[in-house]
Amino acid sequence: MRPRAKKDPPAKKFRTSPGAWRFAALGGALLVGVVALLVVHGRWLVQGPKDARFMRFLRRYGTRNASEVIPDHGAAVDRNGAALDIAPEGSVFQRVLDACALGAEGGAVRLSIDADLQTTAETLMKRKMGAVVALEPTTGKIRALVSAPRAAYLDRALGGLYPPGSTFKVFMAAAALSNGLEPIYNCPASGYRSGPSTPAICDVEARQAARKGRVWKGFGRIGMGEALMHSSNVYFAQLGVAMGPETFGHAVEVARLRDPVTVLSSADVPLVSAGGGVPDGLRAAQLAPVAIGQGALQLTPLAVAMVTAAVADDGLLLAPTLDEKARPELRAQAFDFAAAGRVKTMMRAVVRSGTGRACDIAGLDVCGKTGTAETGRGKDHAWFTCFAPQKQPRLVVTVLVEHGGFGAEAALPVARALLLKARELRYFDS
Amino acid sequence: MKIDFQLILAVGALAVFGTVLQARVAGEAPSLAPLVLGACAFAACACACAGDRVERLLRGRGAWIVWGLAVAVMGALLVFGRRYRGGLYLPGRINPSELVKICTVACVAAWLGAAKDLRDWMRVGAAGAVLAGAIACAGDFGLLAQLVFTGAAMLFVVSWWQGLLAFGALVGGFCLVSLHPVGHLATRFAVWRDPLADMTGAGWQTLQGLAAIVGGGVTGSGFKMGDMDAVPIAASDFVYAALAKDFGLVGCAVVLALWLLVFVRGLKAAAVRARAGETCGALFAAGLVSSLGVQTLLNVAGVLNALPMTGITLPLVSHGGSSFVVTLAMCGALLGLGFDTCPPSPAGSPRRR
Repeated sequence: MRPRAKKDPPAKKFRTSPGAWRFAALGGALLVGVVALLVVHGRWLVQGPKDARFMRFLRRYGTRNASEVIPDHGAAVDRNGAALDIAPEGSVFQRVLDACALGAEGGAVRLSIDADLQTTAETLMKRKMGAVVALEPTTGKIRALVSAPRAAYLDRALGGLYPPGSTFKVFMAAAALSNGLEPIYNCPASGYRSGPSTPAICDVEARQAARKGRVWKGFGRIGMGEALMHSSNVYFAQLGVAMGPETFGHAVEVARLRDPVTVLSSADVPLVSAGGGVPDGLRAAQLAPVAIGQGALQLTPLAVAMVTAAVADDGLLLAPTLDEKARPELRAQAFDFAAAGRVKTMMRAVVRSGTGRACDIAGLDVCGKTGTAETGRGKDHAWFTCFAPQKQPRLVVTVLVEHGGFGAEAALPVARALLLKARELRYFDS
Repeated sequence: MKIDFQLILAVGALAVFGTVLQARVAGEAPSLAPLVLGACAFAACACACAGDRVERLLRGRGAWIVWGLAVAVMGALLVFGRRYRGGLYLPGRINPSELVKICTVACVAAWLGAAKDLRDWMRVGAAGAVLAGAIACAGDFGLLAQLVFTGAAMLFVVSWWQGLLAFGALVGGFCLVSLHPVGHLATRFAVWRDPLADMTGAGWQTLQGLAAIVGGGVTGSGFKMGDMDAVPIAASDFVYAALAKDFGLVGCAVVLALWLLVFVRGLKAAAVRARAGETCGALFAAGLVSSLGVQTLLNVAGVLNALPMTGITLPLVSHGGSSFVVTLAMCGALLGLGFDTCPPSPAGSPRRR
């Protein structure tokens, strides 16, 4: 038995005694809100199909039901004038075509895509999730653009943001060299801590040795070339901290990593890639995970390809485009001329005797970098980004396989096969 | 003592439906752990809030302790929080907004219930402003909007014209913000005005959601028949679009009607507490109902592009283990508050058990 709560004496001016009708009014307001929402819902069902712009969106990108209502797709031809095979599902390629079709209703649009290379890349990415970008570094023309699986609406190549993993070390190396930094660091097996409470950043070899119960004594004192060849996390974490937020931020600004890229500008709907998620306002110690392509850093496969292209083209970054008729346009002077040359040599060493050995194609002088990005869930994302040949780069190929595991095992074979196909298509003949 | 079976049935139906829909969107078998935990939380909160227990807790120091907890959590979030996909999270990716929500409702209920003079009112305003400032600093404008609307609704329960004044101020504030939106609010408002302006960029998610809604039509394409790949973040913010794709307008109306039933029964519980003379308990119940109601309305309005996207979830239906359990606990509290321990007899004298 409980005593009844004592009733307060009623105050005169600021009374606080809720009457039952107030609750009814509140319930009524919620009812009105719900009904209003259902009316809006119904209005979309009625008015939506009458809105020409909305329906244009719907039939290009919308759900299957809607596209069944109005079967209509854009048309486009590849760089050689060959008609491009278009699946009814909205692959990234479909999105590309739609962007031009929305710009110029009717009539085929000439894209920079190479149908042969594109088909090969799509076949290679079958039953995989991920993206492939192949572009010419000296013109910015995109020759293949794949988002796998095709039927997914998520546009992985232009819109998917992923941790770039070790492929970001290419950017770090080029940026550091451009700013006159080329330190030698001690890289012990115990790893590197940027602060007292941060977890140690270790090399893959240390973890593998620990798993097998062996002793690995670390890389010792190494320079940038050797660090890139072995993809040493310990080295690049220290490099990131040494660079500091100011230099790093400046390098990111100069290379325009955060800015979205308009790969196809047309009258109605330009096709724009997602801007890179590069964290801002970090302290020096927080740059350690960012420098190895982890942490809060997220880039699109196109952005990774652009960094590679900038290195390949002696530090000049040409705006990537899908328009065959567009003139090459300088997007940024991303790196120093000399720095880009040095990084090229280092990337050549990666393929000749480092983590990317499997991609060493005789007579092609491939330069590349593997990447294995931790995702926190499932297997790691596998990356491989490369260009060839070293002297006069003709083609950049960037491959991402989601949850593929090691970059050298999952992504590299795709890039290798694509390079072989490109050689067959005479991309590397001068 | 009467147990409100309508409330239990409506909440149970929503919880089971939410679990099944989540499993379908994720393409996995439904996970029963949140459901079991939620049921436990529901029962525990029903017992903990039974009868006049909330009233006794909130009278006196209880309110300030609860307020301190909310401010402490927000402070910890501001100091230790890390940004992840635009939101601020505690280490371990914990989003404490649910806890802050309940604490805010509880202390506002206590203060408003006990307010007698102007000084009390000013104290309420100052304490609320501190909390609102902390949430605004964290950049969680969805939570802020939800709490401010909830506060206005609670004010309305206590005082007719002051509540209306608060709502007027809210609408005015909204107009002001919509005229000069800053930061990432600018993008949200731009998408709200014309989602088709940047259809492959900022408007993409909203348009995909609308495409799913239009594609679902009146009756929907049937369970598991809709193409879920088409709905962005189908599991959380845009779960309403996934719902519309599978079950159409009819299914959405059923879910919203179930929520409306929960709200009505919750308000009935509030009326029971008010009849027993327990102002704080009544306000707490009304606050819980308004919080859930505002959350539902703002989420659905965002997906339908009737209001700018706020980034808050649809309670019980959206993904999120912890928020699912906490929402069930809130519903349990409503059930407990509805226990009519000593209803006044027709003669006016309290009946004794």
